[in-house]
Amino acid sequence: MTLRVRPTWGLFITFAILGFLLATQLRVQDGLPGDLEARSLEELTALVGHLNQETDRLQEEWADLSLRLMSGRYTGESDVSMIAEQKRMLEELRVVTGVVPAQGPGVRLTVHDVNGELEAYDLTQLINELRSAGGEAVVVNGLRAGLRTAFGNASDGMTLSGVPLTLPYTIEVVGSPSDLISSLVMAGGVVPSLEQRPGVKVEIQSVDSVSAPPAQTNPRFIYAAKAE
Amino acid sequence: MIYFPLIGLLLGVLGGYLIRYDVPPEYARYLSIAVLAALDSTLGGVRALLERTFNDRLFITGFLSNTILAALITFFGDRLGVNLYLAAVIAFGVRLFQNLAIIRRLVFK
Repeated sequence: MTLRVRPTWGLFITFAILGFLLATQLRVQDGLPGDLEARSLEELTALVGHLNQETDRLQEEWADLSLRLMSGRYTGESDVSMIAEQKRMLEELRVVTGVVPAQGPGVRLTVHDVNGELEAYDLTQLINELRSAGGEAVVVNGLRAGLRTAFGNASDGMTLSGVPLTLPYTIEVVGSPSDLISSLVMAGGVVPSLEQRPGVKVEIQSVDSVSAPPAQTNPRFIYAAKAE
Repeated sequence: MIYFPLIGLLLGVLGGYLIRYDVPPEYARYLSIAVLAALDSTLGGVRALLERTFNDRLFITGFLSNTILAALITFFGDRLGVNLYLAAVIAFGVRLFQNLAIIRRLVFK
């Protein structure tokens, strides 16, 4: 059979458009990252819900397993090793709460504040950051920051549990120097945001040995009793 | 001159790969349905050619309007929260296979 088509430009252009569309579509489909963007909102919502459920389930499982691990550890050991373990925990708690002197490698921060910009809140943030980065014993201007120490604002500067602090503030922390420094200087972290204030400068140096005296105000418990 | 449209097709594919125009991902759905409509129209054209009822003006307007309307319907479906995309895929898909079957019959007649 014979086919006769009048060679019109319209046909030519139509087929050219078809070819262009096909080629573009093939390329776009290849380049889509995991086709998430092409899915509809309902599909994505269902996907997120499913993943959330899965996360919850895994977290429950994790908590359950950690509880079983802890109970197994205490029932499986003899009384002697249990006492030794508890003594070690007690020592650690004494260091963290500032009851006993401590010593170890760490970081020394020197905070310069020419214009008196900083307030108690800023130093509290700094100490919080150091503790969350694994700082075990914190010393501010030679004073141990324990459980009951708090920064206060005075008319001519700051106080630590009522003791006036003189500039520059020297903060020493016992802990892993690399962990502490990286958490302090990360972008958007506490040191870069403090240094945005005029006249504020924070020097950070890693030190081989920080010696922390015991805190002057020890925790006393009058109202709190051990919960069973 | 049956090669004339084929040359156009080749040039279009070549152009698509050379120009490298990247459709934004949120419009990729509309392009895909447009491509399906374009394929359907083309197969309809081939069928009309074999049935000797081909009219190039009808073919070109059909091709363009089908392609654009398919993308528009999908777009409005998304706005209305109705998956008209699926309706378009089914309608064009069914017609595509029908046209293919008729073409097969006409070729082997």
